[in-house]
Amino acid sequence: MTSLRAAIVLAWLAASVGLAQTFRTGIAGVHVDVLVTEGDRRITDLTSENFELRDNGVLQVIQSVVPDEGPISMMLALDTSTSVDGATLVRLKQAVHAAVTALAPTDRVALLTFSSAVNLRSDWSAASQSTFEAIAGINAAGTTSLYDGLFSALTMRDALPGRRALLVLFSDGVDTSSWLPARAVLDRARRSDAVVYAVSLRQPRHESRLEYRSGVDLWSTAPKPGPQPFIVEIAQLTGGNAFITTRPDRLHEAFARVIEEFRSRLLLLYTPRGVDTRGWHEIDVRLKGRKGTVRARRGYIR
Amino acid sequence: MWISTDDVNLNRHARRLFGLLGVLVLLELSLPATGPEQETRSYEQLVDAYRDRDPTAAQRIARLSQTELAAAVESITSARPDDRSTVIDLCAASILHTDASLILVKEKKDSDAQFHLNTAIALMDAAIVRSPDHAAFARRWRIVVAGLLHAYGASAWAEGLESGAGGDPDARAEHARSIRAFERGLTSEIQGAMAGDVSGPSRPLAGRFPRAAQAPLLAAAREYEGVLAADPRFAEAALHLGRVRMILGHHDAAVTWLTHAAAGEKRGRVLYLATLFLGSIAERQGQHDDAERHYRAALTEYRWGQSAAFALVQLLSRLGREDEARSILTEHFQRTRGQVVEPLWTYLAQPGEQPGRSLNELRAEIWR
Repeated sequence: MTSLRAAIVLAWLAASVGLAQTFRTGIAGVHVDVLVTEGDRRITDLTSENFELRDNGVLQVIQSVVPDEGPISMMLALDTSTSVDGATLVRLKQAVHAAVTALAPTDRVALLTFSSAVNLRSDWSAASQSTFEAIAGINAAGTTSLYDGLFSALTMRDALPGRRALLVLFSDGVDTSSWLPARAVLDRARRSDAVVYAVSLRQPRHESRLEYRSGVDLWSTAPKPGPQPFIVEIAQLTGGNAFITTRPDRLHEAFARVIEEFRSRLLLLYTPRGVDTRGWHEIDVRLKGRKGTVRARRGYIR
Repeated sequence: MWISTDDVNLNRHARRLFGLLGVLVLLELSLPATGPEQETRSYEQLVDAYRDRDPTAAQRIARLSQTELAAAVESITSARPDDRSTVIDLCAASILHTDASLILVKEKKDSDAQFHLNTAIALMDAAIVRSPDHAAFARRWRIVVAGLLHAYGASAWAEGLESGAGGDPDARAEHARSIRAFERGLTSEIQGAMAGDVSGPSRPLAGRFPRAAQAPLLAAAREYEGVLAADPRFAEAALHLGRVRMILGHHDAAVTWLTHAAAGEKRGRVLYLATLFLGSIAERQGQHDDAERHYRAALTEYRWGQSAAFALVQLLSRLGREDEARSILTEHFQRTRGQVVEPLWTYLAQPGEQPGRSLNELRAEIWR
């Protein structure tokens, strides 16, 4: 089993090299990162027999299921608009500090904030004094360029290969000042292998779909936003989760849960059969013979 | 040849003499210049520091002697076009004195504040004389500063600034009428934008174009067309008319007016936004090469914004040019370090409505 895992990891690494901007596919197959829960309990003792996976509606053979234990690259994308100022900002910094502290020595972190302006405060590195100083130096003022910020966070993915991409998004509101529309972000997320976890301080409302600050719709094939709030949609699209709280003192718990969940994910491997190789592939992963909820990204582009 | 002892003695004396002269020359060169030349150089260095975003420059100039300042300003405004100070330097100096004036207004030092405001006006007028292309920049400056003066309770000065555009009373009256018509157009454009927003009080730029927005957008277009009929050089009106036509789906007219705006202003905020909007029209029409060209031009023209960078990065990413996209985004973050001045943020602000942000846009146009 150890040699099999090693072979799978090697295949996974080989597939990841040079494909930093695409979902993890390659000649070795498609890797689908999933989280299985039953209520609050995370389920990890699963095999390929416990899953049913369809690629564009075609049932696939799952070759392996292993814990997804690769080193993490965590991008923190934090809303620092005026409404975050005060007690919320204090709690946010504490929560982020703790989340960074919980990373392993082989993990890496980057910090990006968005209010009116989007600012990459700390580029990719192992957690260090400068990371914590960047967190401490955050202040809150301005409007909310959520879409610009999230698009930037997805684009500034860690260039080092063979790493699991986690994007933790914090926002307390809706977009009010981005140039890019929500559709551009959803399109970018489709072409990324990052799993987005969203932490929101209030119940995200269904904001108006302000597609484009110029007033012009984008190309017709871009994904159209669904009926749910954007931050919930982006999390679901990428196989992540959205944690919503109304209390700033619960932010610490929410960020901790993100890290715990991300460490509890499984990696499914399959080689697509009977489906076109190019374009968007819709993925549907279900449990078989076990109770629970599966979170997996909705698809990938090949 | 042999040198005689007498020659040696003579040469020794000569060497001493020349050596002494050399020391005196070096001493003269190393000593700071005194008098008006030194004051002018010090003043120019302060303007340079301001262009390099020195946050103390305005406070420093506010504390200098008015007599020395007046002499230095006289020197650079009367300089020939090929002299050291460029038009941008004159504009930068004007805004520097504007900042000093506003500091002093807040400190209730009215006499000193008025001196700096008058100096700012003289510098901006000198800039227009040297380069009539900067008239639009000067007009924006007047509107923005008047807004700030109103906010600080110096309304008499604000009105003087608003009515002082150009020396001809008829021209000033025409200018005032154009501004009023532009404001009416902008009010309608905002109503059209709000019709696209169901979430509440923010002032977004309209997204998808609902029917409820059509009437106010058409009204906005009529006002802007009226402004341009009276004053074809009103680049900001052409910019807004272009965007309104774009939202209405009249792309050919939109391109015409946005191109007109870009050609009219040739620099700064209007050129940046017009080029950005031209890029988004091209992108929508699948003309990716044109879209890329426009986005790159916008990014080159105005280095302190962020929308052009995001527009270009998004396009390149979508076209599969990920490495390039990431490189541009990285360079943008390294250059701006969060200090972004984005003209889009004040696009739907009435003249004088967000004067702080608008003044920051003017500053960004003179930053190095």
